Amino acid sequence: MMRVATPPTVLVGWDGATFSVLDPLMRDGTMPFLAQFVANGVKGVLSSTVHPLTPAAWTSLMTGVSPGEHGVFDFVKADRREDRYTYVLGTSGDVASETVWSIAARNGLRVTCLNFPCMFPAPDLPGCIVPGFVPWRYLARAVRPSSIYSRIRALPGFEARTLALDWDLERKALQGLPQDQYESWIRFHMLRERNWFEILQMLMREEPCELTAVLFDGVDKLQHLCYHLLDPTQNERFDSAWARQIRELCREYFRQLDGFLENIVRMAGSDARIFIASDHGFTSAGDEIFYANVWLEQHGYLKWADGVPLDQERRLTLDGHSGSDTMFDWSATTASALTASSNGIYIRRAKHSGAGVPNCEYEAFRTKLASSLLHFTDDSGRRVVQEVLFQEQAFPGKRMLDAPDLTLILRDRSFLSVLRADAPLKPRISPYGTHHPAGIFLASGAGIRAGSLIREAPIVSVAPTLLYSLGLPIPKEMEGNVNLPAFELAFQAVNPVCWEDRKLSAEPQELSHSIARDAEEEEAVISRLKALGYLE
Amino acid sequence: MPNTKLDGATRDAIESHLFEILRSLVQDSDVAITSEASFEEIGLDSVSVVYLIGEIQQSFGLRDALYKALVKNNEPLLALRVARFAECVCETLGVIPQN
Repeated sequence: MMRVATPPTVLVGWDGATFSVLDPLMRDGTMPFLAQFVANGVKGVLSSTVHPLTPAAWTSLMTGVSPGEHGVFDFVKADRREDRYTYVLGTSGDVASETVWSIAARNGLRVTCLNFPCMFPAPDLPGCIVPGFVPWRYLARAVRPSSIYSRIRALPGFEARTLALDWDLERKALQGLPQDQYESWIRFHMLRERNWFEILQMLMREEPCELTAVLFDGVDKLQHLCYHLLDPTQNERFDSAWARQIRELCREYFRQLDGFLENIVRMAGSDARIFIASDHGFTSAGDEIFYANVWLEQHGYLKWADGVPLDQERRLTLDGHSGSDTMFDWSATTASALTASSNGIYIRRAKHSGAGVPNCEYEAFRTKLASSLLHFTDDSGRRVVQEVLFQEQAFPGKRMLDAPDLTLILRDRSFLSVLRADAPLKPRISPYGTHHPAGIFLASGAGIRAGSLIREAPIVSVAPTLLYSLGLPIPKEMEGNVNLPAFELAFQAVNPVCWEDRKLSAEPQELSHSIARDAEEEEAVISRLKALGYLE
Repeated sequence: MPNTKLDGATRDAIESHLFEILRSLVQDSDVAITSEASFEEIGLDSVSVVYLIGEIQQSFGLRDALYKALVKNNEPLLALRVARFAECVCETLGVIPQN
């Protein structure tokens, strides 16, 4: 068996984990190992990105910089080059900053990285990467090194369709399920997490690395549908036989997660440091859905394309393969919400056709639009939009122009709907959980303080903290600082924080207007084909 | 301006590479991959097509040029035929079209 050169550092990601759920589960004995972990280590709130969304927040955690710098704002990347705005799924090519995995690798360490977003196509690093959010057909091609896949496939119970992500299924499920489908949805995620755990276990045993990271994303999936059942303050309100059964099944999910954690800590060894983090927290969404594009239409900013149906099911976004850009008449649209996940409004800037907002009018336009949104109230006179943030407020940084022009924070922190309805505010059919900025940070192991509550830290502090744990210098461009209160004073005394001047910027695959290929690049194409064995 | 270095042999190599990727993606099904088959007919989902584009772009250092070339005519990605996709990759790489 291989051995690692320095004490291992392990990051366990729990997507959307929140203390409002975990604390009661530790108290009632559902997660006994986590309770022990906390007693032996540190615990604190990890504040997410301004708009707490999975790809943006995990990328901030991985890079130590905020979305305005790393350039990931949503699951998709908006394309505003043409008159009609479109979008495409984001990839690792959109990440404009170096990741902690890459920094560890260039310092000679090996890395295991499982199920993190924005990791496809995966970089070639020493260790093993299985990117997250990959469709099952692409899984075999996505694993680096590719030779690992045959070992993954041989694991007991492995099923590519379970491990990978079915975007259509996820989107549909996250918009609400009939009650009789909750059980299979939760069991599916228990099986999925087990698949990821089996891979992790095999790699920790057979390919140990100095830095190991795994993301369990079922926490988020369960909480979107079941937060109201997991929140003890709502137990009395939701106390039917069905609610009790689903609540117990959710506990079973968390019990399994607790068991995985216990095994991970044991496998990592007594000299390891284990960190647990979430990308954001959770809370209950309110009772209403804000149909942003309906509001924009009513205020003269948007025109629906012919034949766009009214949403009758209180959905947030379209099912299937159609983009929301197909719903608008772009000849008469100046502002639109393209995705539900971003809570963003995109202002259409005038280009060749002349339609849209001229540059000279942009500032006045967005100020008026933001003000109108803030004045939108429900029947009782309460404001629906709590805050409207301009690009430079929500996402300052070198990539901020790729962000939505406006980011809305709704009064209940819920996500908006991009669909058409007969009113901008409609009652929600089922209780729903939504993202909250207060995520979690926990640590335990060699050199970590025991039994301490530590102050709230930003999500950008995790990457420098992992590098510090690995004994590596921290790039000065990282926005976050090492979460030093997590470490014992004696450890800090012999392990001073070291900084390096190296630039963090990666080469993003920018939206380019043309590719000017020079002779060197053409040689590179031929070399690549030769390397692939297609040319002599 | 097409590149004279990226000639017919290079084009064949690119097509072979694409076919091999597609075969690996549908290796567990009986579907035949032909030049005239669309991605949907082969059994790919839209996300896999986006990932395929991402892999090709990364592989050849194309940034997002291939994606841009594919969507400029507003063709649904799933309806793209393999031959059209290969043609687009070659065009983006600057390979001379075959007569």
